[in-house]
Amino acid sequence: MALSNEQKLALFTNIVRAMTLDQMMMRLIRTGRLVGFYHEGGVALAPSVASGAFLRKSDPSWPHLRGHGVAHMLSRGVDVKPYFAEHMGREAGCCKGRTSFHMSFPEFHMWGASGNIGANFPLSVGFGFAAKRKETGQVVMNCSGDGSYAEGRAHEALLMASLWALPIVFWCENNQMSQHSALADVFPGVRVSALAPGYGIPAKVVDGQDVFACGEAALEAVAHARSGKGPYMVECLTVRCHEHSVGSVNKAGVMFRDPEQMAAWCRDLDPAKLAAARLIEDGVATEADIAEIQARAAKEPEEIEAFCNRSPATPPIEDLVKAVYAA
Amino acid sequence: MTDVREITLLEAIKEAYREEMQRDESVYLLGISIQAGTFPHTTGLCEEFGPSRVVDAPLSETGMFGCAFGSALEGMRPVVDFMYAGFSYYAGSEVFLQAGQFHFMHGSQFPVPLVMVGACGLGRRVANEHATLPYGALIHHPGIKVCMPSTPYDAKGLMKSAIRDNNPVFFLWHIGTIALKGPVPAEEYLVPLGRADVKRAGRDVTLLTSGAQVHNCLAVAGRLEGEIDVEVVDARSFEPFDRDAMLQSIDKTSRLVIVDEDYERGGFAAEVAAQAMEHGYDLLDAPVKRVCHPHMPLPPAHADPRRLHGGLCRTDAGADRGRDPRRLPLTESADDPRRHTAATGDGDVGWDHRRMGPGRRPARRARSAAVDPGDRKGRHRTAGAAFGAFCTSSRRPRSKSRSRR
Repeated sequence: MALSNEQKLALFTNIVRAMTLDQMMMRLIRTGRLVGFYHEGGVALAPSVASGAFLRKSDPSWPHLRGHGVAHMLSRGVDVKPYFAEHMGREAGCCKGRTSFHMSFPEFHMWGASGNIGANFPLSVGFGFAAKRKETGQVVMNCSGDGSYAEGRAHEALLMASLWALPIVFWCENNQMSQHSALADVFPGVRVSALAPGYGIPAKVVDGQDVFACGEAALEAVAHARSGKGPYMVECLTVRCHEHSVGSVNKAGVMFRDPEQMAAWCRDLDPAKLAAARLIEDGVATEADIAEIQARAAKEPEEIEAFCNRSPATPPIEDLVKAVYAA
Repeated sequence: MTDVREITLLEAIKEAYREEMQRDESVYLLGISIQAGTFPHTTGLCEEFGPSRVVDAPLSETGMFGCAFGSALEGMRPVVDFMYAGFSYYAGSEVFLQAGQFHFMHGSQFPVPLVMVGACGLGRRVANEHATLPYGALIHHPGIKVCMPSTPYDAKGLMKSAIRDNNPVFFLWHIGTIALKGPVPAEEYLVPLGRADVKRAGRDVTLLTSGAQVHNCLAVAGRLEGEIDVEVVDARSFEPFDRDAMLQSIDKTSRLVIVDEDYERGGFAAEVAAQAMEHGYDLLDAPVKRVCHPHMPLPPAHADPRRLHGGLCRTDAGADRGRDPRRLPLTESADDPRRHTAATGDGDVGWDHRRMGPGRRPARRARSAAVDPGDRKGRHRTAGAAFGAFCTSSRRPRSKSRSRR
């Protein structure tokens, strides 16, 4: 499905913002202001941005862990300030500062994040089941990496989604690394999407560095699911040019990963740079437009940090123990 | 005039399902082979409500539970039936780490109104995965409510409360109560979660228990009538636990025995014992006792509830059933000689698949000449003597022990 110029500009704006805020997260964790850990997005954020670009406000989506979902939220129009506040342990956080990396934006049906990889798959079945039962027309965007597809729960979800023809997009952001293992060492075959035909689910593979290709795939997948034809899988091939999480080893098995290769990926596969070049080439935007978008994005971290700093830290334990059960 | 019927515990659960499904469109049942009905509490409901509300899931417990969980976040009220409660461990991460914590972890903004259902208990000698009683593990994890009825009345009322609750509730039912009959009013009522029930009042010792063990304890209490006045408190809910009811009971009796069919180590009994020490120490005249499953797996071949559980729960003392309208199903098969040597009377609560129907078995004495009455009497005395010694052990002056509360 072809993208309009407006859609292309929105995708570009959000990949620039996402990569800017990814680096903001890196600054926060390196200066000890982030609670918990952080899994850098780096140049792998184009699929994340595209995943949310064509969802309705009521469509449940569950972001992938890389970049901690910021990119997924941006393209949905979520104000991410409360998420940063959450990650800094502030009361103004979207989960009241209790959880670091969990997100909670009810109006967007976003209840993302779990420390358990693949935890979203069974939940997505439930979101899809409810959408179908209540005939709400919602589509579920189930984002994950490649590693999740080794989880049994992912396979149960594929089976059930197919069985009940649920409106779920299985959106795989495949960076070909499963924590500190190369995917090839822990997954048979080369493509995660090769699983899909076995479950009777149509699938598509796209270049995960090309935010427009990812966008087109998202548009198509969401339309497929929305039309009642059941689930759809998209595999976006991308790379990881840094360690799994900040401070962890950067190895694949016993082997250190090639620093020159990673530097080359950062240089050549930067999705924001690639997209900017395309927009100029296609006459969608001028260099001045691009510079303005970049300048606006560069201001965001300051605003976000100011918001977070205004908020007090989380309330005492006595208040928290009362918050366990719903009324 | 109240219309009261005698129905089985599983019929009572089915009534709760039916009433809540009629009352609220968002309630649906999800489980493996629940349309056919592995157990009778779902049979006929698919015919009545259709396959979109009585949903057969593939053998994918994790996916199935996730489906319930996700749909609960999207405003539905699922009842997810694991068949046997031990099968919920397939979805261990979802059950223990996600469902109960989700509300808190997401800023106490989204309720997770779902009910998990599963059978547990030793009754059928099927061991381990089919028998494990997960409430000790469940109450360890914050955010999940857990209950288990001992009577059809409680089953219906608790299930209706569970379905209406805005939190995940694990509703356990003991396999030994499958065909248990009892009075259930025809009109609407609820049994609140977190409220214990004194099933028999007494002054000398409190037996705090749950599920099928309630009936064993009642049987023991009946047997000891005239010697020791036993109070039987049915916890009904493990979380929230009705600590006040426990404290009120030991305020009266000053002795507490916790009878818990689960593993002893770190379980519900341990938790109650700790709470009794922390909040009711001055009310006690003797240390709290636990009667639990030993710290070993639940064995199929030797899972005779009367040999386990310290012998205290042997139902050889079940004389006093005229007092109670409950109809107890029976475990024993007449052709198992091992059971004859272990058994010492009638009134066992349990379930034998060969005699699923409710009703009384013929009196043991009429069935089995192999058991020497003298021997039986001797065993009674042994169990009773140990228990009696505990109950009558030297008391601290009551006036002093009650001065603080």
